[in-house]
Amino acid sequence: MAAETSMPCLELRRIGIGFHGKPLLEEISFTVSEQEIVSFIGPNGVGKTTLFNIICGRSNPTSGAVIYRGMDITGWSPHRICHLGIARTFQISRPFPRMTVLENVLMGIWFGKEEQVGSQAGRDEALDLLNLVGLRHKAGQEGRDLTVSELRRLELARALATRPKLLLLDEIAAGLSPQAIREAVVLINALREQGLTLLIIDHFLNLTCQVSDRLIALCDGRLTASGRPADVLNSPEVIRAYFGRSQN
Amino acid sequence: MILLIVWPWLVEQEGIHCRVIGMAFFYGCLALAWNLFSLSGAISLGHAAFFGLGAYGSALFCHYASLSPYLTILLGGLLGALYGILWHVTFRKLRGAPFALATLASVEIPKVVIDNWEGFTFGSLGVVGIPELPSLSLGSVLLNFGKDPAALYYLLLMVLLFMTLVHRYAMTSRWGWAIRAVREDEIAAAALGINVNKTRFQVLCSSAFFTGICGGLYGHLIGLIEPGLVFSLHISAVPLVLSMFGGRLQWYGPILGAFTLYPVDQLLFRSLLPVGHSALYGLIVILTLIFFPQGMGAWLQKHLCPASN
Repeated sequence: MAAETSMPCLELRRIGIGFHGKPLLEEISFTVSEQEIVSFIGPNGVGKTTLFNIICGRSNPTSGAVIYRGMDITGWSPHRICHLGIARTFQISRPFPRMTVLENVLMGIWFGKEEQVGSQAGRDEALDLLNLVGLRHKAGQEGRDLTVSELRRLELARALATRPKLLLLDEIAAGLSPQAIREAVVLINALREQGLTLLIIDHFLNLTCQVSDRLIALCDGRLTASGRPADVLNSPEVIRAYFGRSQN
Repeated sequence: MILLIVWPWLVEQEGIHCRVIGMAFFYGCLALAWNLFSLSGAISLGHAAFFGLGAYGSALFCHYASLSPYLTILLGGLLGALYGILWHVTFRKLRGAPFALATLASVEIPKVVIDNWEGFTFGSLGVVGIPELPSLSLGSVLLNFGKDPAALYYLLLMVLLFMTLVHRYAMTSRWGWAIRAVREDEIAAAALGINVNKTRFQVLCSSAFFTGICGGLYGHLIGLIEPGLVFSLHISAVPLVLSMFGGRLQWYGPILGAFTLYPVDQLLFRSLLPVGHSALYGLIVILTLIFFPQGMGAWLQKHLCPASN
């Protein structure tokens, strides 16, 4: 499904990071092609979100490099990385609580790219995005008044408002109903059709297996398996990490 | 607004009512300058540093270089902004209570230096005989700020209007939206492309500059300054109190605080309780924080114009 291009969209080279002297991630290397959907799986606390933080510039790795479309962006500040076309959602939603839903999305439209967007054009674009995620009827409500499911959708609309080329979705299905998860699958596939490359962290294997071209499994701070979803889920390392024993 | 314009003609121009409202304009400016920085979510307890540096900068430039007070007041503002840059570099990683405490402590550095550099700053004796603001002529009208209280009143009103425009710009422009996003969640703001560091820097330096301007103006209004006066905790606390009372998140909040609290304190509390009027002032602040945590402006807006919420 992934488009064939010579240069990968994203490449992580031997990324390592630790906290308080304890390594969290070691020697993480992988590449992601344009329009590919790659999901990360692994037990809680293994460093999946930290990996997203490193890609988006919120955390600096202690070793290794992050290469985006051939450009070394290691240690860049988050706003510069956003301007390059990398956007993310957060594991725990971070709306601007006292701004309306529409204003939350406008922030992404106005500041996500360096070029200026007019006020009316920005509003129209924000309303279209709210329509896409099913939140148009909540446009005038404040961020702090939304439900968990609505916050997830707001996060997605806000990230899309920055017009990204690479989108990182952290626990996008958490707190969603089965129907909402089915809608999320449709939406993710539609985003890929529009040319986006997606990285996903989610514990709903049902969702990740349906939408992903590739799974990457992390365990004990290392990349333990990478490949087609069925292959990764059946690999002995992943079974051991999840169930504490090998398949046999 | 009309009432403010005609006020000097309604009351005795030499009298206390004209002077008190004129000084309420001044404290309104100071509160607006303080609140500029507070819009980014940071609470400063050390704006007296900018105020004092502005006051001393302007007074000493006047004394040693014999420059026009209008120019030295601007130089005082720049001195405040320079100290703001130092704050930004030093306190960049601090947030919340540690930041507030660091700002409080930072006032001591310029204060101690000025207090002890007697050969240059006249030390704890202060600077006396600071020249009044020179007269300006607008066509056939001569504005003598030193002798004419009404002229000074209108000058302070003009400065307040300018500061209000700056403050309003910092709330409603696209820059204002960036400031607001930084205040609400700086991690999310950065992820959406807002340069958090630059925004905080701009807002701090603007706030420090205008507070320095207020300090410079103060010296020329009062005629004397000393370290214990212009670097006092009172100077840091007053704009905070006025802004908190009026409403930090309304463009008119700090002005509302200055127009309410300062005249009430000077005209009512001071005559009722000449010694303990500050205690009443303190009590009002505590009651405001308990019952109107968003300030009177937010409360009035909610009850008088519910549609705008």
